[in-house]
Amino acid sequence: MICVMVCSFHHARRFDRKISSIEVNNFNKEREIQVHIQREAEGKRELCDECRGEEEPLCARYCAPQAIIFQGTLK
Amino acid sequence: MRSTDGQILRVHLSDRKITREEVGEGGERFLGGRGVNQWLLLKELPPAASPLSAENLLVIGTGPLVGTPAPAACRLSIDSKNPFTNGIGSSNCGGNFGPELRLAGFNHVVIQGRAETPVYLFIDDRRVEIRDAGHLWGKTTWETDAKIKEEIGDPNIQMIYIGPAGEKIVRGACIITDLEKAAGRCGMGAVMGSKNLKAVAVRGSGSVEVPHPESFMEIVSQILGKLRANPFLQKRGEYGIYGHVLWGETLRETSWRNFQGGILPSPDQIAAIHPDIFLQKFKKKSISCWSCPIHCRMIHEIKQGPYQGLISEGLENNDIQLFGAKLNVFDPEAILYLRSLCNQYGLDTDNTTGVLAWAFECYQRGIIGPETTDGLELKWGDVGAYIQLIERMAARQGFGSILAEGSQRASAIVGNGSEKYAMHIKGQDLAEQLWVHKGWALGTVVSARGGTHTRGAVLSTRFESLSPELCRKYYGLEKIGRPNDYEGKAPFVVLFEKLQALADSLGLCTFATILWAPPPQAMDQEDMARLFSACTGIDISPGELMKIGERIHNLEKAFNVLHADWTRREDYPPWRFVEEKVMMSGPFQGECLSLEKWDKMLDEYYELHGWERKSGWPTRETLEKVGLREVADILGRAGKLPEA
Repeated sequence: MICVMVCSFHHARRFDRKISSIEVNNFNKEREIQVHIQREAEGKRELCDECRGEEEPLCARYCAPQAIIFQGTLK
Repeated sequence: MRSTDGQILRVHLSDRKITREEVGEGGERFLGGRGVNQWLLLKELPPAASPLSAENLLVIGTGPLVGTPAPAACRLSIDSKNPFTNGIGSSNCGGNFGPELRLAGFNHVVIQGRAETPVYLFIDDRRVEIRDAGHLWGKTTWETDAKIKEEIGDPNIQMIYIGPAGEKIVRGACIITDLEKAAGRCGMGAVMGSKNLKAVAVRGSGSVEVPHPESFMEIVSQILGKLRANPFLQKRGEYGIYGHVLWGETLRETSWRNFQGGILPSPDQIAAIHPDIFLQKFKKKSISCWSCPIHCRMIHEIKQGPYQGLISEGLENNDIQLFGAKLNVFDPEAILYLRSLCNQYGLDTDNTTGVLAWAFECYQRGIIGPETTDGLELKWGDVGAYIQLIERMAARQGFGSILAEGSQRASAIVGNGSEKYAMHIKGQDLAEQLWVHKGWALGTVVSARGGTHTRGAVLSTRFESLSPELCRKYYGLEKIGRPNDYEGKAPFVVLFEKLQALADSLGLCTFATILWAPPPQAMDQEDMARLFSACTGIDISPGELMKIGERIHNLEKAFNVLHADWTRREDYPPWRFVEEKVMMSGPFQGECLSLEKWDKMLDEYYELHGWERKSGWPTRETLEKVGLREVADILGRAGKLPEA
């Protein structure tokens, strides 16, 4: 969940998962984790801008189990 | 919501009334989580209240760091009067319920009274409902999880719940969250069941506002870097909570067959439970709790054999000790199955294996026979018998209903000399082995919640390789010493008790702190103070924070003096660790506890706390020094302060 929080920190300098570009669903019996990254703004959710202005994408930097890895910018 | 703003939600189940109030001075004096929970209990619960009566309170609480990205800040503390001991009950779990509760705007939930019929609570932000749970009664924790998610229509809803064992008020019933994370010890599931409360579901859409987010994130980043670089924690991420324990090491004490042996007798047994077997044969993945970089929740999958299809989470070193050594099961698949069965029925594994081991030893010695066990033969290592007894305990059927009382009470029912083999501390079944490690033994025996290692026990071997500088800096000690030295262990335990109180009250997982992970790459009191100050905007020094830890520890001690009448006589280890030399080989062959040396260590421990040596009670002076004047007044009125 740290990725969700730091994403909102990037967008608004606060910790609010409603505005995060990342949604994590990981609560089923098989413990499958689904990470959804917002590719366009939707409701309160901000578009993922790959952390423009930060040194590196914060979700990848802070991801607790290092499940998110930044490999490069999408064309 | 500002990080200092969370409320207390109070649910009166008897008259279905719901109220809200501010945390107020409790938050300033006791931080949150366990500290505030215990403060509410001491203030509101009369000493005569029975733990399983409607009068008892069940208090659920998170800490001020929970719901933020602070590393490992996910913990939930569940506190009540303990059905085993009449003293404090206090249990703790990770997962995502704590953060979700905070995002719904609440720091604490106080459950009081008893519902007429089974109910569950649904906290949907500020909207709180008491819902019928008749259709959930009798369901396992896993079935309950699925059913409520379906009913609410939200797969991400967070819950705590009990299984059939809690409903039947089995004393060792636990509370489960997220399928297999347990608030295990102290019978909190029995208290919840006694209130006819099946579950609490929560969904929060708010956020925790931090006054200085930039500097907070800087601190988070630094701590995260440290934790990721800690080799001990890296192993936890790889192997899970089991870690990389090698049982062949002669240092490793075990609880073999109800503590009849201190070392595993056979190399085959040691080989069967090697961590690599679980890693290579069963590991599916590891997952983490909210914002935790350690990701020690290992998921194991059994792909063939009698337990095929089982996906289980969170195997611990404890499970290997309890099901492996203590119950003599050296089949990894059966160990995974048995612990998961306990989680599904909502039975704490420590308490359950404690009473089972007592029954099997009594059977072995001919103290009980098939006429007592409903015809069941109790042979060490018989997995089928364990499964049947776990099921009967959870349903309180026949002999299972006697086992459901825990070994101390069960032995009082059975009699015939069985009392001797009930290995408990203050009435709660014992999981820990206490022959060699004196800091571990002291912390376990004096634990305010009744014989458990997570309240100050020190496994000093973990810190043996620290340089003298680091040893002084982090633990205030000149040297760690050998594990079986009595010297230097009392101050170590006192320090750990304060630190543990802080971690539990801030909402931090103990694994991320210097309580478990060797420094310098672990969180110490300075990190905690920096995180707390940046998160709340309230400047606090590490020293001030430690004083709060001391206050919380004294608060719990006072509760026990008041409610359970404990004195010095309760702070002694069970006979087996004093009289039986069962460390059969290795450098600590024949090692056990000396009562003479224990007495000296206990004197030193009381002195360091400012408690009277004779009674073990806190003095007025000490209570006033740690900011608990009103608690001193309460104890004084009850005639439970040492004479000046």
